[in-house]
Amino acid sequence: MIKIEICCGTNCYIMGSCELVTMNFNKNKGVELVGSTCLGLCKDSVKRPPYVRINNKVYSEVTPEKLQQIVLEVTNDL
Amino acid sequence: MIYNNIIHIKRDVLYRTIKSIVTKDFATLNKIPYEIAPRDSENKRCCIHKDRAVLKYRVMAALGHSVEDEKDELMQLSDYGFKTMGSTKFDNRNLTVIHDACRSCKLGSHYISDVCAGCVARPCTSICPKGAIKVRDGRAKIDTNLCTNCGKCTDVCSYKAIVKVPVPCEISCPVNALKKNDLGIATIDSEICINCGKCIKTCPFGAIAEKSQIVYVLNELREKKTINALIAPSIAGQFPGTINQIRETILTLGYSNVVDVAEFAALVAQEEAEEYLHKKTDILTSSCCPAFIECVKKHAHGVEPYVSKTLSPMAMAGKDLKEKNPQCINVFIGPCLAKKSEAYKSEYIDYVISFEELGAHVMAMDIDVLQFESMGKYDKIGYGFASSGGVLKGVTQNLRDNGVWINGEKIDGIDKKQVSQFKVFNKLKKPYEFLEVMACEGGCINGPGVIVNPVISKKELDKIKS
Repeated sequence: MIKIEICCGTNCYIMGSCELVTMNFNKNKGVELVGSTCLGLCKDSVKRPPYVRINNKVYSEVTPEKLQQIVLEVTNDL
Repeated sequence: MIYNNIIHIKRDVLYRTIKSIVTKDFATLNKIPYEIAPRDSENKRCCIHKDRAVLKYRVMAALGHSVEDEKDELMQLSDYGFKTMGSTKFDNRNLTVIHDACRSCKLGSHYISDVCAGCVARPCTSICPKGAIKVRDGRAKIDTNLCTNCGKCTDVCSYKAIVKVPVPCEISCPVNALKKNDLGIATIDSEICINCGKCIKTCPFGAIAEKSQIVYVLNELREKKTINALIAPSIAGQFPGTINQIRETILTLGYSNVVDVAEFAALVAQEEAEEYLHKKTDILTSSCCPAFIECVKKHAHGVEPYVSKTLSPMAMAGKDLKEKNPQCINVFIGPCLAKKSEAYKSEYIDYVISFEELGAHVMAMDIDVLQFESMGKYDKIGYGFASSGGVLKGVTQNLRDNGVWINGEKIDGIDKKQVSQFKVFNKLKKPYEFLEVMACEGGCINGPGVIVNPVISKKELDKIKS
């Protein structure tokens, strides 16, 4: 099971993760979407929210479209 | 409202603007367009320079200025910042058109798409009364000089190849307040506009911006006066965390008090029920939605006698606070644009900011909502007002307690058709005794200033109510 951690800290939530947590990935087996408390990535990063973390790899400025693609990539690697 | 690039940019602009103001580093205001659209980034419009030009105007609107008022194109954003900081006066034009962002969509033009098969029957050419359609290179084409946009051709094509190209802002405006000037750029007639904010949500180029009052509020916060934050019931679910966590967050921002408008919403339901029992007309309509009230005042005088005289929950809360302390400053925090207009005319409310603006302020101060205690005491009643059907439910419940059973009806969202019905309201059959009207589909949780998708906030709201 791959855990997709979506940062739900205030910054990420307002900048779009509020939309990401509503996405449904039931069709892609082996993927679990988790809303996480602030991952703390916004504090010292030059990149922009919202952040998503999968297997310790961090993605920034994630849009619903981008998340679809990331999930596809991750599941293909299985 | 579905999250999109325009919303993302809008929030980014607000966040950076507020950050510049709270750190008193006005020079950074000038950098905002370059920070959001740096040299190597992907351009959203024709080129990055246009992106930056539009961003400049967005910051200007966030600082509380009308883009239309720009006299000197060389005036810098920092100067606009100083200008806002030095004054406490703003006008009642709450929407501003960013002319550079407007695509100047042509009104009602027709277009023959690739679906056209260049068929043999060619009904389009024969039905066109102006002879504007000719078939060339195996495809029908419209001569735009001859076309009068009657639309007859769209119905006869078997392939449905002819489409009317919509003008999103004009279609969305329920009262036709949006007009095109000679250059095809949208202009808003503030005499007609009811401040519903539908055009902001609809324009895919983000050409219509909301003038923010947040900088004035930041100014007041700095002076350490008694500032009350009046939070609308629809705040439920707008942030990660519970209502109590949101309240704590707002206090940390520097407000002296957080007041639940939901409490007063419950009072409004009681008072409207009372009013119903003593009414002289056959029906009564709700009065909470300011866009509806403005629509009635400007476009449908026939409805006026039926509208409840009860104050809105916002005004009621403001009145209560001003009576206790006339020196206090009331800031209403809600999802609504029309509330700005209501507050402008009311003596009880000083400023109105949206959830997005509050969110950007929280971001700029780097506060994590989830760090606070989640459980706390607050009244659950009145939160129902935030979604469509809530006012109706509140009023009927109160009447039922008095032993009166009524038929209620709700109007969920005002559009062009609905406004034309309001205009002939006297002649309509009214098989109900109480009518709830909300200008936004789904209620306040779908207002122009919300942060999250109404689907989520509806769930959160239901949790609180139960």
